[in-house]
Amino acid sequence: MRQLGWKIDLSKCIGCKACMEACKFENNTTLDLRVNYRWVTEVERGRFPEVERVFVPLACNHCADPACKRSCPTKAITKRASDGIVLIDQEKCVGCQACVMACPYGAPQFNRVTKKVEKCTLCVHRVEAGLGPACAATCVGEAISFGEDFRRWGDPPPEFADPRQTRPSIEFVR
Amino acid sequence: MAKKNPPLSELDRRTFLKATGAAAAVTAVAGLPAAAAGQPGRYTGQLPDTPDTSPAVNHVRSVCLQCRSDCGLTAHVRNGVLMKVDGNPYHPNCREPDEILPYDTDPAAAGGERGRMCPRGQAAPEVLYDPLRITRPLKRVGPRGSGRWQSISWEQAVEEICEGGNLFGEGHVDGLRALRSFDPIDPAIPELGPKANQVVVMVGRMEEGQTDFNDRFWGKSYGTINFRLPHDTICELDWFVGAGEAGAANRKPDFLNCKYLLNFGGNYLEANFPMQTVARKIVAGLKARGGKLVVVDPRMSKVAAKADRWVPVKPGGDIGILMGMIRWILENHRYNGQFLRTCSAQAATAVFGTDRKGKAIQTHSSAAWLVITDPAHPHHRKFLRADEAGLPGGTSSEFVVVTGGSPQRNTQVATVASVDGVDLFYQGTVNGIAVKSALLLLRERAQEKTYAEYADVAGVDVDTIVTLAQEFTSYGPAAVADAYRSVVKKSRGTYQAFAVGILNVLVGNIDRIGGLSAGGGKYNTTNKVVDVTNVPGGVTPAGVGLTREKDYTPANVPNLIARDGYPPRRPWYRNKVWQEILPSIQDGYPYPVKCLITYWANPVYTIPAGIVQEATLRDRSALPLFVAIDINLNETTRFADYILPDGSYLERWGTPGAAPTVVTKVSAWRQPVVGTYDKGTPQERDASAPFDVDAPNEYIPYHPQTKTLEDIYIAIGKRLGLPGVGANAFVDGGSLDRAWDFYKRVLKNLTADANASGLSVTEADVVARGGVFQPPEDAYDWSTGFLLNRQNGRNNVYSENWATYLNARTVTAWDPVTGKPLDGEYFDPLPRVELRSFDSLGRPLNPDPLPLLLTTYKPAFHTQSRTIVCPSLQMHLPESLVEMNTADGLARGLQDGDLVRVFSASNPQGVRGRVRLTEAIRPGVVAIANSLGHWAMQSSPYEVDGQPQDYDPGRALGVHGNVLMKVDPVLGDMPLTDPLGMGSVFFETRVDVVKA
Repeated sequence: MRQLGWKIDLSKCIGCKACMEACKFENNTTLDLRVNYRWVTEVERGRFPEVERVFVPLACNHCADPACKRSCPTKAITKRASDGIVLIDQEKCVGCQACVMACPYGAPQFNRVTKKVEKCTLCVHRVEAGLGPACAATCVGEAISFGEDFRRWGDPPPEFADPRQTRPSIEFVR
Repeated sequence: MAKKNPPLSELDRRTFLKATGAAAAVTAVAGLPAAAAGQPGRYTGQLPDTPDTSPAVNHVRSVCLQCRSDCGLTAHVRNGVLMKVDGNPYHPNCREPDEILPYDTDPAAAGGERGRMCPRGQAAPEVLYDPLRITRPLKRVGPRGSGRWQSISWEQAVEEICEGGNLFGEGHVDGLRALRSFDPIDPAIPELGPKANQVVVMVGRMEEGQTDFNDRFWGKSYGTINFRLPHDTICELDWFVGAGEAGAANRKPDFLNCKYLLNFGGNYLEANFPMQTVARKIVAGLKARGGKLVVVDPRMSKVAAKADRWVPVKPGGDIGILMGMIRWILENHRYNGQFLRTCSAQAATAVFGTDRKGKAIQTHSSAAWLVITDPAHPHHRKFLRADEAGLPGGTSSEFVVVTGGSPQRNTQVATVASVDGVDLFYQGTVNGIAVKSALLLLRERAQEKTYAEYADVAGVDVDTIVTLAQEFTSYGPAAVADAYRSVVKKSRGTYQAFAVGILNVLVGNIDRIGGLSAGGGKYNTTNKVVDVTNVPGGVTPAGVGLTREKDYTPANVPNLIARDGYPPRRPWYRNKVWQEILPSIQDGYPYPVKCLITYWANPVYTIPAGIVQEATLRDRSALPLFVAIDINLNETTRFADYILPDGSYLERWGTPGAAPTVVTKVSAWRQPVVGTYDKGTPQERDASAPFDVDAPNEYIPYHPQTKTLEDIYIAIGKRLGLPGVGANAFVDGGSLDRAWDFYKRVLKNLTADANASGLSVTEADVVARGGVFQPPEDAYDWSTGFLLNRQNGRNNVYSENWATYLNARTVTAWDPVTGKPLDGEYFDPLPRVELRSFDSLGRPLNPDPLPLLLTTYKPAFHTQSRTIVCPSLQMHLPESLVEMNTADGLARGLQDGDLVRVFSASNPQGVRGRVRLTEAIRPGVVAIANSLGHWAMQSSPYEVDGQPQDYDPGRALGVHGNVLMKVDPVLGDMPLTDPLGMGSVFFETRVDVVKA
């Protein structure tokens, strides 16, 4: 089965958050600004002057074994056989937030306006048109790219939840 | 309404992986119209279409203006609604040369092609559709700053501003008609010029196209010498002055080919020029190619986090590293002697040849030129001229070097052998005049301090300086030293900028591939076909500018000196100085101002300690009429008598170029992406209809009660009957009735020049692609190793210009007959260590006893004062933080997230904010991100026509570092200012932090 997902080059992420803005306007998540399908975190490690700042762009990882899908009581969450994209159908979601609790990556987010949970669609509307996700298209440092077939996770940042749980479709390189 | 700091966002409390980037403090404004326009929305089992490929979506290419980088943009417009903004794939800011969309790609088929764009730029729809934006003309009804307004028609606004009268029930106010007088302001001091100069145009953010129009209108149609006072001195002017003295003002590394980049404080991955383009060239270019990056900065900026080496320098101590490196390079003969010996354009061509376009390489250096060192000589400290040297045929425009043991006119050194024979360190006498070479003077200066002393200045060890010097000189001309505002915003910061420039001269990287690039420049937009700057029957502005951009000498201002003597009441400069405008108005010096017109300007917020200038805006006797052209009630415009709203940057034309980061020529085409035209619009026309450059294109912005800047000026000009407006406004006899009458000529100029430069483009091509872009293959000449677009000029290690420039404020004695000064201090022709702060009389200030030094910076998702209107940008940092080293915080009993008070000597009350303790900053330093902590910008209640208006308290969250900054103790009304570079001082304020 084909599986789409992310290839993230942490050496190139500059933490600028252009990806978040691209996602927000592409997917129209402006009604509730707290909802971000993609986000960027920063980790600071070490003591002055031996310090490291690492920026990590994150989103739904469209896991091979998605915990959200298992948790959903209304079967609103599906995983497409054609490309492995995990989607939450807003018509079927009742906003119980079981998936919010289940996901180890914080991807599903409760929208205070619609009272439902939504998340990254991997820009499925663009994928269908033969294009890549909006975040990858804009990424200023070329850190985010769109990939296929994830058998390994590369070199995840240390706080990244154990990928053996849900088998996320993401590979980190540095 | 009392505002209360909210708790730190959940983001900071959550664990790393649960963090979702969202924040609680943002006061969301209403959803954007995009939501109703068919933008892809939440997944409902059916796929929405994508704006890139939907036939219902227009793709309009224009230019961003969230910052000054001018990246091209692609606007996705559906049914007249802007849904999303991306980069323009044709524009070299938005794509690297290997991925840029070829110019011959059909724009109609390029919908799926997106250029890259930074977060600020992508928030564009929130600027356009900001529900709190000012969208109709306003007139104050209460006292200035009372927040009470009435909406008025454009006709009323233009009439009142032009005709004056008892406009506010407070007595008579002169209008623009009465003020346009060409009688002298003061018959006893005619050099001040005509009364029309008492109308002053203060500009915050105005760009090419608009500036051309503005200057012709206020300068040549209206006739004030103060036709445009730009914000440069709170921006990079002192960097341009300092680095420019080494050769050319605005240069950048050729990032794509550079192998070693030594960056003194440039905030490459967050701000800089253009942030996205530089950032990509660093992380996906230089670093990915194995190039080496060193960042000198007391704060571990994001680029420092990506560097091979972070040097956490003592704030302001960069000059220690710079001078130490210069000393080591000269003493160890690690300079590029061949380049330093190319003492003329002729010498350069002899050594370097001609590029593949047939253009001679003329990049040369004055390092070997002789300087007169005899203090008794009338031209002491100047370069020796060839006629003074008694050289046969020598003229006063030629200089002298010693080659093969004898003095020679620099222009006659035109063979490789004679270049090789040039003495770089000559000392002796020529024609009886004691001289030394410029490079020798530099070496002597560098040797005035030991390496240990330099290391102490910088707060680093000697090994670091030596290592940096060794590394920097190990890559030939593919090593570059760069900096930006960080090194110059100090009271003698211009010398630091010169030192950075000199490092580049020493390795001879100027105009070289991988070296220092002057950029590609832009095409001719002003006079290739029609000179749009020419006003038939217009005026030539005359006199002294309000901020006195002339030398205070008897030749320039004899009657003023006869009246005032020395030192002048306020400083005089060599450029327009923004932080001087309001204080000069308050002082009525050199003359009273009758009308201030601001354009997208916010001095109260953006000038260091600008808040001390607020009182002038309230003072109706010092400032009788204040008209603000703006789309916000910002910290400054809230005091205006009238607000005239123009459009956002998405509703105007313009012709911005690109920063020298781009080594090819760029003339981008900014144009409206929404709004309505009469007919045949460039954007909404049938795709098959040909573009008609001569259509009227009467343009109405998205909010119909707003006007383009040009249309506002045209309305004023027609009311006053000014030349250059209406009929016969242009040299071709054409009329100026609407903005397009100007821009269609600009477009024809641009197109004609592009074609004359070997391209083949039509006006329609330019409009469809958002500009003209020289192809990337015209960047490099690999056989000579030079860039094809070059500065091609002289590069200095010694400034004759500064050596002969007297700081008039330091003069205490003068000849009462001639007005000539008898003492006073000349500026230093060489960089020097100067860590002290100085007042405006040139006297060092006593050291400030507070223990911590304040620094500020731009985050990647904000620019100065305007971007706070974007909720999605507010989201990234709901309240700015007071960042300090953990050890400094613990020593004060602080924990991360505590509410603290930061205060300074000039602001003992201080400001309150949350502290962030971090290891990524040098101890002793406090950093505050710019752009937050507003106290206006529709963040608090105000009234229009008696009705309370919506406002967003979220815009007021956080702290603003500028309010803490140091005030000149002599003048008391402006920040410390470098008299040479004219920059306002941001980085010399000491503070302390206590628990609030």
